[in-house]
Amino acid sequence: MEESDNQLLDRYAAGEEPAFEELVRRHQRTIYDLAYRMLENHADATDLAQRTFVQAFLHLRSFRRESSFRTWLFQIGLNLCRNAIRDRARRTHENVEDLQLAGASDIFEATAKAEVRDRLGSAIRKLPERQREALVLRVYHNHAFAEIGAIMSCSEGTAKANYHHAVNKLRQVLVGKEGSL
Amino acid sequence: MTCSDIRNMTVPYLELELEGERVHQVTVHLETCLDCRSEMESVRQVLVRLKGRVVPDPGQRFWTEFPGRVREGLLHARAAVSRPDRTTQIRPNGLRVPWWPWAVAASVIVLLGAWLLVGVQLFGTQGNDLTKNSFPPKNEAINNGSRGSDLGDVAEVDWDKTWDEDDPDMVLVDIAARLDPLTVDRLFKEI
Repeated sequence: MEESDNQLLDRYAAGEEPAFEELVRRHQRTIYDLAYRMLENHADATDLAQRTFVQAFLHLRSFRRESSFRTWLFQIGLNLCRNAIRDRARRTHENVEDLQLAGASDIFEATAKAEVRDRLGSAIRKLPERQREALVLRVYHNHAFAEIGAIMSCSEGTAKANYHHAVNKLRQVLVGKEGSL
Repeated sequence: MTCSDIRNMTVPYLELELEGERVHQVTVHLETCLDCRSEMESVRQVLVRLKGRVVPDPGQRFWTEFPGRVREGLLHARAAVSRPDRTTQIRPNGLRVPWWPWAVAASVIVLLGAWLLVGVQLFGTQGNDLTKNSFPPKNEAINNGSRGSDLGDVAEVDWDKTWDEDDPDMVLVDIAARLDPLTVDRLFKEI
C-alpha cells in the first residue's frame, strides 16, 4: 500500500532522505505542468517547479497539514507563477520600448504571426491573472472549486465565477475572431 | 427556464456538475432553442480545445534528474539562509556582533535626552509659577491702588535666595504682601 504524503513528510522530518525523493517524484509532473501552463516555456517552468519544491521543503515547519501537501505545493507554485509573470511583464515592457525604437511594424508583424500560430494560447494569455489560474486549475488539474478556492485564497464562489468568466471570455474571443468554431 | 438561466448553466452542464432534474430541464430547452444550442456547442468546443492543449514531455531523463536538482537548490537555499546578512556585523577581529543592541542603546539615549529636555522645560516653568503663586499676582496688586507697583516689585524678588524662616521681618513682609494696600498703609502709619 502506498504511503500517504503525510507519512512521507513524517519520515523526511525523521531524517529519512528517500522520503524526500519520493515526495518530489510524486508531485513533480503536476507542478511542472502548472508552471508550464502559466509560463509557457520549458526553461521557466523547470526553474519554477524546482523553486516550488525548494520553498516547500525550506518552510516545511509552516505547513500545518490543514490542507493536503499537494494543495500546499499548488499554493506555493501559483504564488511563484504570479511573481514570475509580473517580472516578465516588466521585462517585456522594457523590451517593447527597445523594439519601438527599432521599428513599430516589426512588432505588429511578429505579434500577428504568433496569434495565427496559437490563437487559443493568445486568448488564454490575455485573461486576467485570477481567471487564468482558475482555468488552469480546473481544466488541467481537475480541482474541485472548493480546492481551487483554497489554492487561490478565495471563496469557492469566487473561484467558480473566475472560471466561468474565463471560459466565456475565451468563447467570445474565439467566436469573434473565427465567426464560428 | 429562460435562455439566460440556461447560459448560466452551460459550463456545469458540460462538466456534468448539474443535478439530474436540472440536466433534464436544460436538455429539454436545448431541443427547442437554437440560440442556446449554438452557445452550448461553442462552449463545448472551447473546453475541448483547452483540454487538447498538451504540455510537451521533457523526457524521462529530466524526471529522473529533477529530485537531485531540487535537493541541490534546497542546499543552496539553506546556505543562503545561514549566510550572514545585515542583522549581524563583523568586527575587525572577526567577532560577529548583532546590530540590534546598538540600535536599542541609541534609542535609549535619544529617549533619555528627550525626557531630560522636556523635564528641564517643565521644571523651569513650574519654578516660575511657584514664585509667582507665592505672592499676589501683579494684576491683583495693580487693581489695589497706588501701592500696587510696589507689591509687584516685592512679588518679583527672588525669595528662594533670601527666605529665612527664622527672620521675623521676612515673615512680616510675606504677610504684608497678602494684605490689601489700605490695611498696609494703616499699619505703617501706626508704626
